[in-house]
Formats: sequence, structure tokens, C-alpha cells
Amino acid sequence: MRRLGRSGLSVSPLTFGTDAAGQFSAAELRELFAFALDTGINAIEIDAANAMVVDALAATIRSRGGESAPHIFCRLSPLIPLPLPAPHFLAAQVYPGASIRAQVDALLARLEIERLALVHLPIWSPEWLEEGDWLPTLQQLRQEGKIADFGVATFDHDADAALSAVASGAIGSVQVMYNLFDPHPARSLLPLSAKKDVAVIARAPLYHGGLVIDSPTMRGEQAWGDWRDAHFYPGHRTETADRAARIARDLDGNEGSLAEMALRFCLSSSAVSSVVVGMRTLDHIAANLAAVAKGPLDPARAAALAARHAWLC
Amino acid sequence: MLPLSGGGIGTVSLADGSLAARQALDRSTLGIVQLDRPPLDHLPYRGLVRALLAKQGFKLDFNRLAPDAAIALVANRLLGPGSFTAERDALAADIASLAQFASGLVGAAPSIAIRTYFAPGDLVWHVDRLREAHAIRLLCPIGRPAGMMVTGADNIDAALYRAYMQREYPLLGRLDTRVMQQGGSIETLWAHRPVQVAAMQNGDFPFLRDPQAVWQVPLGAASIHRVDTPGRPGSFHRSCWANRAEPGLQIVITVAAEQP
Repeated sequence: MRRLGRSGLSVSPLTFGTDAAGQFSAAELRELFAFALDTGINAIEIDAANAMVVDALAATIRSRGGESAPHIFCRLSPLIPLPLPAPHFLAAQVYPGASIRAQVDALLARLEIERLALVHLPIWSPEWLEEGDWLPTLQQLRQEGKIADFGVATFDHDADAALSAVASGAIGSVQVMYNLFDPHPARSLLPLSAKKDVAVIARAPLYHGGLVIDSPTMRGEQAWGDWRDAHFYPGHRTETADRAARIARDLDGNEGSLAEMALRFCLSSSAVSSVVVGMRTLDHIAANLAAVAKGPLDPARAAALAARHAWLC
Repeated sequence: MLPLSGGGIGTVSLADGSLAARQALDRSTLGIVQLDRPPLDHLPYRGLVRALLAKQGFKLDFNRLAPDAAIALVANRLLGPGSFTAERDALAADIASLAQFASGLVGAAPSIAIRTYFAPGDLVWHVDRLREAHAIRLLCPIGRPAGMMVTGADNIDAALYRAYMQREYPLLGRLDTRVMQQGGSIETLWAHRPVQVAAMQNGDFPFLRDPQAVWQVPLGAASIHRVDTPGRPGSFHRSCWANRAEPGLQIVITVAAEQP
């Protein structure tokens, strides 16, 4: 288990991510949740707006009766669905305090739990740090015991957007993309977060599946069936696959698969509390747990891989 | 009658007045009109511009400074007190004239900036964005080797563009900041990203449907384009690779109003 910043909670190195959960039935998702929780994962990351996931999670929690509920990290929904950093909007327009409170209360009611472990504001722009009423609202929710802590989730490749919020001491956690293609958070955000005792939730350790060698989707033989079909348009898919193959060629035969190394890379920094991974099958869960059981990658090896293969930074 | 934009870029002049320019801009399918300007060699403040271009790249938002005070600030700091005094006045007067013209298009106060720094992010197709209901931007580049490229929104594959920019936008922003603060060439700073640098060089972006359906603001001309707002689409544009080494002096005037 790893410390979750100042929250007082301990979390598993792996967090079950639900971004691709739209492909599953509620029953399939409940089975995946149950298996993950039974095998040592104690944190689940959800999008507040994904009703199917929330309901499946609620059913899982109910079915486990007296067993302790998982720690839930939740991305709240902005009032304006902005696809890019948008400092030209005001924080009060995007995250009014009333909306934050309503979302937290609704989630607690639907999940039938008393407290969320973390809530994150996604699509973060640093200009919002001292704007609006999002901060006092979240502080009040924490004081009321409805959330253990809160923070921001940056856009992909935009780790530096969280620096001022972390430095301010206002937030207790940050969710950020961190992987072999984009190791940029290690330069500033991770050390600063460690210094400020801010929990780092690393996202997309496998670059949305791009760091999995020889998968049918990355070969272009099979669609993802979700937003990744647009994300990995042919040119980007080809370049991603080529670069992933280059990393794989750099691995020692004893180091395991690229996916294993990618997960262990994220955990090589003690600043990272947990790594969010989307897991589609029971086998994925077992394989990821086995990779994590090998321990964090040696920091020197992690730095060498990052230096050689950094691309999306 | 002003030229209609049709598939290209219409032309307006200061003498036509702001209302006529606004009408031409509203008719433009590309969301842009051009404004003919004298070449650098004919400008009464060419010596001042050339002296500024010889210095380290800078960016100055005028904020509440009047153009003459802003130009004095820059000239004093970069070229020394008392330098180019007559030319400062001429440049400030020209900026004030452009700002008044742009202001009249939207009916709001202008925000003025000048810069000689080149933002690499400008090499990628983008729209400028503001939250107000209606906004335009006047860009007057002086001493650049190439004009701005524009294309229609229907020439951009929206899903692909979104995917591309969700990846590249933060990286471009970081590159812009790095270049402004520390200098450096794009090729060196992004040596680990040759495919993306090549796209900046040759314009071969994956989301552009028809590379031929692209227009260029003529060299030396100014332009006025629509800014993307919650209620109105913006004009897609990008700079040319040739401008990165010689960005010229760019006068950027933005006007935004809460009411359309």
C-alpha cells in the first residue's frame, strides 16, 4: 500500500480505471470490480457523469456488505465540456461551487457511501487557482467528511498546469498523465508533489494501450470501439507502435514485457501514490498485479528509459 | 462594393471604415479579410522596426498603456532613451489608427500587443479563442518573409483535429513558453519529435482534408479574422515555417464584446 498524500488513507499501487468501461455490460463490470477488489486493488477511478459505471460500482459495494468499500477517486464534470485548456473561461463558469457540491452529494447517495477518497477537477487551467468558489466548496466538503481530499486532473501532457496549485498547498492530490512516452512530470511535478505531500495519481501508464506491443488494435486490425479510434488515427497509431517497438527492443530479456515495465516505470517514483489502469479482463487484472508485485523499476533504469524514449513531452 | 471573399480572402481598407470591414468579415466563408499595408521600406518608422528586430524577441501587452507610452517603454528599454523619437510617434500613431479601426468592427475597446518573438505553436492550424460573444483579431505583421495561411473549418476533420490538438496543444504551449523565456530553435528543442516538426515545416497535418484548399494572406498585408467564441466559429490559420526565423514585428489587436 502507498500513502495517499495528506488524506490519511493508504491505497493500492494499482487503481482500477473505468474510462473504457462503456464496452462492458453492468454485470461484466461488476465481475471485474469484484475480482479487482478481491485480489488487492482497493481504489477505483470514475467519471462522475458515467451513470453506468457509478451504478455498477454501487451494486458492487452493496454486494460486498460489511466489507470495507474501495477508495473512490472521482473526476467531477465541468459545466462546460472544454476539449482543450481554456483559461479564457472563468473558473466560476466551469466549476461553480454549487455544481461541485451537487455532484458530490449525488455520488455519495448513489454509491451509498459516506465519503469519496478523492475528487478531481479535470480540464484544469492554472489561471483558475484563485478564481471562483471551487476551492472553499471543496474545503468545506472535506471538513464535512464527504471527501478525504481533492485536487486537479490535468489534460494529457499538461502536467505543468498543476504546478501552481500544488505549490500553493491548496490541493491534496493531482492526477496526471505519466508514462514512458511522457515522463515530463518527473521533471517538476513529482518532486514538488513529494515536497508538498500531495498525492500523485498517475494516469495512462500504457499510453491508452499504445505501450502494449503487438495488440490487434495497435496493428490496426481491430477497432477499440471507443474514443481511442479517433485518438489513434493511422499516422499516430503507426508512430506509436514504432516507438513502442523501439522501447521493447531496448529491454533486457529478463525485464519482462513492455507493459510490465511501463507500469513499474510509473511506480519508480515514490511521489506516485497509485497508477490508474483500465483493465478489460480478469487476465489483465492478474497480469497487472503480477507486474506490480515485481516492485518499482529501479529509478536509474527508469530515468535511462525515459531519457531515451521520451516523445510526447 | 468591397470584394466578396468567395473561396478566398476579401480586401478591405481603413478608408472604407469599420462597418464595411465588419460586413466583409461577416460574408467571409474563411472568417478573414485582408488589409493592404505599405511595405516596411515605405514605412516612416522602418528604422525603429529594424532596430527592434535586431534585438532579442519580446512580447508586450499594452494593457492600459496608450500606444505612445507602450512604444516608448519598449524603445527605451531595448534601444535606449531618446532613440528614434520621431519614429516612435509614427509607429504609435499607426497602431492607434489600426486599433480604432478594429475597435469599430465590434464596438468594444481594443486590447493591443506587439511582439517580435515567434511562438512555434502558430505553425499548427488553430483558432484563437475567447469567451466573449463576439471577437475579432487584427494581425499586422511587419518585416516577415511570408503571410499567414488560412483555411475553412470544413477543410478540417473535426474528430481528427480534436485528437491531434488534445495531444499537441499542451506540448505546443510548453514549447512556446520555452522559446519565449530561453530562446532556441524548434528543430533542436523538438529533436525527439521529428514527425511533428516536419508537419510544421511542410504543413502536412493529418486533419487537413485538402492541402490545396488553403489561402495565404499576401506578404506584408494585415488581416482581420474571427476569433472562436461560444457563439461563433473562429477562423483557422497558421503561420509559415519561413516566419520562425524572421518573425517580424507583429501588431496584434484583439477586440471582444459580450454582445454579438
